Amino acid sequence: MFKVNNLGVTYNNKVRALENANVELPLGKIYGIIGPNGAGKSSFIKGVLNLVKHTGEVTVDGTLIKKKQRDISYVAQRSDLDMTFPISVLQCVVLGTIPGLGLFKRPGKKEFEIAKEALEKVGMLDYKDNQIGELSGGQFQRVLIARALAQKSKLVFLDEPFVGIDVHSEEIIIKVIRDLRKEGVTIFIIHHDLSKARDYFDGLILINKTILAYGNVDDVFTEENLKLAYGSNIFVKVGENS
Amino acid sequence: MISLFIEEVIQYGFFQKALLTGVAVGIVCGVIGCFIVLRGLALMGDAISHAILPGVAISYMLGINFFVGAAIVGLIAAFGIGFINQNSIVKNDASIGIVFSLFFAVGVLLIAKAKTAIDLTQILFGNVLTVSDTDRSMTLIIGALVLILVFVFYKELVLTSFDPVMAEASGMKVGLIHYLLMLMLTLVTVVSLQTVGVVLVVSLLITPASTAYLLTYRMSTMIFLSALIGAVSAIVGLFFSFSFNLSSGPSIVVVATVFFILAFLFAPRRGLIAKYL
Repeated sequence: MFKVNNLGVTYNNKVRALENANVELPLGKIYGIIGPNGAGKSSFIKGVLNLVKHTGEVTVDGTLIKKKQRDISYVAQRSDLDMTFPISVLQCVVLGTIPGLGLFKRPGKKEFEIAKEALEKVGMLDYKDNQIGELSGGQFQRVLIARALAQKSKLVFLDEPFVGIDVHSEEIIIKVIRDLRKEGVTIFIIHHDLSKARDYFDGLILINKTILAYGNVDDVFTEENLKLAYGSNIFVKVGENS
Repeated sequence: MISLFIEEVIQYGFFQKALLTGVAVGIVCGVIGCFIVLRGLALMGDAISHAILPGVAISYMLGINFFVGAAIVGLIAAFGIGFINQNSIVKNDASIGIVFSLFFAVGVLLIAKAKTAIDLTQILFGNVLTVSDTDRSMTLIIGALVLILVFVFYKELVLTSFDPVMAEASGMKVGLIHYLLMLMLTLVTVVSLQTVGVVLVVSLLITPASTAYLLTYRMSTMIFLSALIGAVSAIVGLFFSFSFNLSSGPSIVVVATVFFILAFLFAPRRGLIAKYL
């Protein structure tokens, strides 16, 4: 069970991004985190992962998530990374194995094999020697997903992985994520395209400054809840897309 | 002239020592500089180098080795900058500016009041030809220590430079690695003190690293190239310094910058000319 108890995130400038967030969801599923812009979706993940100061606590099967950080993969928004960094695609994926290695151990043959396997899964093995800056947005996103695969973690958090990428990359990523679910991995995805929610996710977390609803897609994805999160205009949009 | 230079190097012990120190400083600065440049910490490099001044002054007053005082004060400055950053809305570059100017000012005041034998100009701009045997040994030992630290923590340094958020989410001690780098930065600055001085250290940290950055797409190659450019800049700079009776620090800096300009213009793919072809 993934349990968030009374999570609150307040930034230094006293802006309250999120308060009193409570969630209790079974593991081994794909969850969408949805809500309007500025609703605190990223803050929710950052609070859960202890990346920002927060109140409240998060547990996984009763253990504080702080004690399970080696089991976490987090892929932030692509734009936060330096694409000119002198690193090849393969080396970038090998970085995923580093948190699991001991202090004085270096990535060796085994780690490079893991990285190559991960690249194969996202269809990027042919690019292994390219510098990351030479890739398109979708290709680089697939490389980041491969890096998360190489971490072999139990919990995967993705922040807007489908923004600005090609359809082909999106399909591959969805397939890889579904394969992960089969292995019992729990995946959380911040997502803004409501039209895909039913198709992609097993469950949803609906956020606007606090958790408005969570659970199965059918229970969360209701007129009433979405109106609560987005205001009344949202139904025009949803109607057009579906 | 070059044969004369080589002859003098062989003949005069003091010059061999200067060359050895200069090359060591060039290599160590080149290596650490890569991480400073990739993390966008150039200003931090400048700040720490200036901030160690009071440490040097206090060490002289207490009669202890100035490596110790400088290292402690450099770390205090790094923590001070981090503390202001985390506990106020003041922007990073502003907190760096506030802290290092204060430390530098206090250093100048201390040196003036202490009436010690420290020559401020020498600390500010360095003079490799006056390096004592003890200081040279310290330079080599600390330089080697820094290189060993980089070797041991290489994977942590690379990961936290490229994607600190992912590293932190997966439980790595990103803050600890940052302060380890700050400690190494401080040590490197102190080591470079006598060769190039506190004002120009930042050049040896960021210029060879930036040159290497333009020339390669691989981290390990960048580090190797940066160290090489640092070392060659030291040798060529000292050659001009010796041949034309110029200050050693500024000479080395000018040579390093000439290498940078060459790479800026002619680097394959990333150079100015390659961009327009």
